[in-house]
Amino acid sequence: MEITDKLLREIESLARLPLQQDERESLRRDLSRILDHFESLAELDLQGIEPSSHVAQAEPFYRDDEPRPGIGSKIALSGAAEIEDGHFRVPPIIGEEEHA
Amino acid sequence: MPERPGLRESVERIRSGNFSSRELAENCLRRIEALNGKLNAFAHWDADAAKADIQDGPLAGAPYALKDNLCREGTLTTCASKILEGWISPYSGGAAARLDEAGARYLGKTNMDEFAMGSSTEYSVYGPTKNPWDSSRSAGGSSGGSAAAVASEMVPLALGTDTGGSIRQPAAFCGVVGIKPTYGRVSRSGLVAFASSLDQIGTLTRDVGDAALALESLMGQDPLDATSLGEAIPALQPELDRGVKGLKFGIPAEDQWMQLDAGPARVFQDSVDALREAGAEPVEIALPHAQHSVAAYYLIATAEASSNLARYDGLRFGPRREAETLEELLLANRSQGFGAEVKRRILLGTFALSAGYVEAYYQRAQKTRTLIRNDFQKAFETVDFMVIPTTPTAAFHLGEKSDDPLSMYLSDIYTLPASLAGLPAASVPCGLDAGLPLGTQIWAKTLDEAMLIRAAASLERAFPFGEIRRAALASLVEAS
Amino acid sequence: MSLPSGWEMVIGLEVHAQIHTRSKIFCACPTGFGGEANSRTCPVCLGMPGALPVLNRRVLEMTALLGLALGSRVALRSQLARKNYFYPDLPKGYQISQYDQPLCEGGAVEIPFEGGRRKIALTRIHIEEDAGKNIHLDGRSLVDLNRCGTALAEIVSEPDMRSPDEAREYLGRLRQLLLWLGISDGNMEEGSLRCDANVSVRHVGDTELGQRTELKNLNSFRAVAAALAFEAERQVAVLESGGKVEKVTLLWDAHEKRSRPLRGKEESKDYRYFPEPDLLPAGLSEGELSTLVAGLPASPLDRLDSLMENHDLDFYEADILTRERAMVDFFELLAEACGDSKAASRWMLGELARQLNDRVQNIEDLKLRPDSLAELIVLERDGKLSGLAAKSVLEKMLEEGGSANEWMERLDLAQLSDAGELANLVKSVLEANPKEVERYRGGRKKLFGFFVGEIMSATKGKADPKEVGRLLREGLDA
Repeated sequence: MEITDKLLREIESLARLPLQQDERESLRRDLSRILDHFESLAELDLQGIEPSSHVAQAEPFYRDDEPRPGIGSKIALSGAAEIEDGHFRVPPIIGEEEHA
Repeated sequence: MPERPGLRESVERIRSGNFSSRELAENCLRRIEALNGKLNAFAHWDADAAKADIQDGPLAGAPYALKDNLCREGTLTTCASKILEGWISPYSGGAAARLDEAGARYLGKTNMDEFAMGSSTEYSVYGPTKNPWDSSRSAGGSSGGSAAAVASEMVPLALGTDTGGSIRQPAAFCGVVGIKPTYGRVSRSGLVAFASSLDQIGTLTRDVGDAALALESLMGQDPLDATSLGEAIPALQPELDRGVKGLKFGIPAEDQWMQLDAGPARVFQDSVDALREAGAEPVEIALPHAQHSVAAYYLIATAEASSNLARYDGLRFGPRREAETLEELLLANRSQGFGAEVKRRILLGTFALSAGYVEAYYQRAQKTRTLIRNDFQKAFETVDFMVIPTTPTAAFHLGEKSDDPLSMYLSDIYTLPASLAGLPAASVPCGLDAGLPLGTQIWAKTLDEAMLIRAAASLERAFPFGEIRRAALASLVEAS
Repeated sequence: MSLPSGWEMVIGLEVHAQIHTRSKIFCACPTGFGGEANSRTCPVCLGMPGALPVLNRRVLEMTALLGLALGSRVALRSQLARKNYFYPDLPKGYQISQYDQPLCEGGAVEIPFEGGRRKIALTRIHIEEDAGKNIHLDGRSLVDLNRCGTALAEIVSEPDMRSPDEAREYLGRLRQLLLWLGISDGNMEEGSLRCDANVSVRHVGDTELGQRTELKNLNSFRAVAAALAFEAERQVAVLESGGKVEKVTLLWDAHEKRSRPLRGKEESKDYRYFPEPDLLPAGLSEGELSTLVAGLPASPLDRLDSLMENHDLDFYEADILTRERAMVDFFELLAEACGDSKAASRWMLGELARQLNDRVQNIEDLKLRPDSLAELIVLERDGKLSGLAAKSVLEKMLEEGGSANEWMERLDLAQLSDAGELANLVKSVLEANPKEVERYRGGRKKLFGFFVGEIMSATKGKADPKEVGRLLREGLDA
């Protein structure tokens, strides 16, 4: 499958991973070659085959609803480059809440 | 010459008072300091590790190393990536916690391909790990640092992670034993995820017995990993001497995906012959869908990776770039923080999941995975275990494949089927090709680590590789 | 609502309800509102490298219970899925939610409709994790992840509603049930209940749906009704002027009373859902589901109907009494104990409701037991307590517990209703005020109040006013 420059840019945008112009062309060719090789899957008859999202054949287990204290805000924030008043600080968010 | 015994011997001698745990740790640290400049097996280590008091336990006093993608409270955990530069894990994952509880002594973290994405330990912010057998060659990957550290006797036990062969392939390249237990046997809590449905922690040791001892401590359900398995853990050490007499083992039927050069073909045939001489019966087994492993694996693994690596945005950990807006910051942190191979895989995985392509790529790959699992299920109705080469060739030269990702992916073909099916798998050093080690893999049924150890130990008895390694690496030994 | 004739609205709601749990959905961090920022966090809800989710069993139980109460099909094995998008309050870069295999499918929320009921069909109910909170300040934003990982149930309706009032009613009935079953506190102000809507318009009689828009930020019942009406009118205006409704997401501004399109980059949303590899398919066993079914209480509307049928209440009374389960339970015990449903209803909707409101108390927290209130009602009905005195007794019982008789005696509030005693009293008051009696009989009927006042002051207000009135009339009009 040929990855076009346009498609690659869309993928970069979805992944929030913009490439430099000099990276883009070689990566575009790599991905196209890799996907060409993966076309072999198209030959398989997969009618009625269930996907294997998990290989663990186990009964699921759950947690009891017992609260325990967390690690505390000091440790929570310890790896952050910028903090303010107990919060992670980030540049201004442009746009609005977009939670679904 | 300072002594650096293997894991079992270390534990026995410390327990009997014959050897001090601190002295052993000091010997290891001196070895790391002497050799790491040459091999680059360790990413970072704790120079004060020998000072810690060690409690009792089945591994009391024995030193160990973690791959740099395994969390241990208070230690640097970077996955060999710029994007996690300086990140100290505030918690211990299940594997590190179990080794610590068993009384083992943490020394440091080993080098790896960035986020475990690679088969050569070249894609690392720390630079490539060199193969102790030939420093112009790769130690394999992504657990290349762990394999090189064990081969060069820096440490008797190093943990690695295996997503598509990342323990077994470097073990084969470095002439040590690498074992990946059944998916779910060792907690993934604290394993920085690459591909969650495939990642599994395992061991790199000098011999099968050392692996058996370490795995007995490592395996078991963890309430913090919902995919960890609750089944009883078999005693592994009693399996070491049982032999394989009367067992049936599968060898892959001649197929187009199974093409070996003469050297590796001869070494593999020696392994088959040795098992036959030990009394096991070879049965040719067809795995008709194994040839699709590379495609299925790389689509699934990269899809999961594209999601797992979304959290690296530089906001809560890792270094941060300058930017005016949040969006710019996110893009700058990610595009400058990830290396080329990680970017390639994130983009491939994002594509595989994206609208319009998800059915043809991600979903087809997951269904193909089912076919591969079914192949195995059928195979294990006939045989007790299977053998297959670990790699198509011995260690390749550094730089040989790093510019050709597809060729790198294709070289994983022998390790991928077991990863996709979640099976326990081992690589045991079984011979030399032009002076470089080669490994033979053993695959066992899900949860049957006992059979895995039993067969691996039999193979090892036929090829006492420890002597060969010591002789070949004598120059390294002298260097310390 | 004032859509031009010939148009109708089609509305579907997506409601997010925080599930009432002690710990978060995938980690043991305590849930709660407010508090020091980022203090209720751990490696899991912070999205730290290597940390893994483990599902809280209670989230499954509560959501299955809701599904069972709404007649949904509850799956024995549902699938958690990752919804991938970037936002600073979503630390993993994906939200763990459900996609093609939700925990509950189908079912309906019933709303009262034209004297009967109408079913608003549900598409699904699924579980997911809440995000943290962003605080937008001048030149920067701050992120607090305390809320991140709080358990949510998302209840998605079919496009089954036809007016803002109906949508509001649906939301109200859903909220009532969430509280009824103890699944959520339903507090819209604190964000534990949130509502988004899909809305389109079409000509009456059309079977095809029009292009819909999505409305977000409907954070009160008033906002739901106002935003839907505003948006429907906007769409009709667009269509009537020959335009086309665009597929957009709109934010409701409650202050401006208008919606506006979501700002920011308009990119096609591609969430790249896939099964969450860290969590095995999740569900309860058939046995566990049967236990939940067996424990399901009668629904609010069934209880409402029963109040109307068995207690002869009107819809209005029965509706208020069934807002909360504790309330209707209290009512039924009270009605039985006092043998007078009307009086029980009058007391609960009147004085008791007022007192609860003043005290900001819930009925289940009361020291007052239904039989104590029944005793009070009987004392009043039998004329042993005046209305005023009964209110004083109620206040005491609410504050300190105890029985009505006890308080009546302690406060010396027993009403003077002995006919002989009162007759003597009336007689002496009339004798003591002959001029007034004469003027009254001469036509100054207003003086009646004067006599009542005299008797009340002589008895310190304890005389039974009804009896006093009767006796006075007898004495004066004789």
